[in-house]
Amino acid sequence: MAMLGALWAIFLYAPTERVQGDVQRIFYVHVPMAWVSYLAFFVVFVASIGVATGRRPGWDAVGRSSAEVGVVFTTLVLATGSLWAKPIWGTWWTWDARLTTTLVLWFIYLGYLLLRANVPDEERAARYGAVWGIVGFIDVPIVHFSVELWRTLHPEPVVLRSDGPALPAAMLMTLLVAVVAFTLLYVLILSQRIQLERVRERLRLASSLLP
Amino acid sequence: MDSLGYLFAAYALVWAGLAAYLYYLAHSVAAAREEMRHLEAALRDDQARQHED
Repeated sequence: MAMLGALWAIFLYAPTERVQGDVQRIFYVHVPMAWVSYLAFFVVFVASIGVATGRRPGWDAVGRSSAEVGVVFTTLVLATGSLWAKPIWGTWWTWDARLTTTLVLWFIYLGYLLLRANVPDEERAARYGAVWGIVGFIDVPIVHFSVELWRTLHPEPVVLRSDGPALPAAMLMTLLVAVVAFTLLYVLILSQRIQLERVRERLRLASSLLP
Repeated sequence: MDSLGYLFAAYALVWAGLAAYLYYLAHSVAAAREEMRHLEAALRDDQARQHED
């Protein structure tokens, strides 16, 4: 329902941007998915602290699941960013600070998933993953503040600004509805992914009981 | 490709990507549950054999 409301707002309620035209509507999925990526990696960070302080295996399943969901959303953020950049900047990709730090973020969590998949001992994989999940999160604030720390082509923040949002009310409302819809979608996908992790954990336990 | 083409491509990619991932998750959960059922049946058989012995 929230997603249908967001789609209605994006295509029928939000006004067409004067300079960029209809392609600016990519913003209403690009920004919420970037927010969901930050949230997903923050959940990995918190879960990793849980694992590092000895609260396994519940936290480990949450962290591993959220990392995978975060990578999916970051992939879509990079792809939609490219599809916006081509008509606006005239190029699919540029080594701009925001784009480069986001690509680094994608590689960090892809590395996390590869590590988890390739360490056979579950206990050790969880410990290594916890360290990776804590250290890797350092890149999230770097990505967020990259547009302020360096001179970049990427647009500056339009909502989280010291002088208040720089968007017309209808655009801001559409963005907020989309953020809520994508956050709910993240919660739904994460719960599905955690469920998978729990069934796999039960499978590992049951397999160890068989002679 | 004009401006609308890029817009369409972006939205198609987002929904196709999310749908594919949700399908993969649902399929993986169903496969893992099926494997769990087989394992539980094997465990029950094993316990029954141990009882008979």
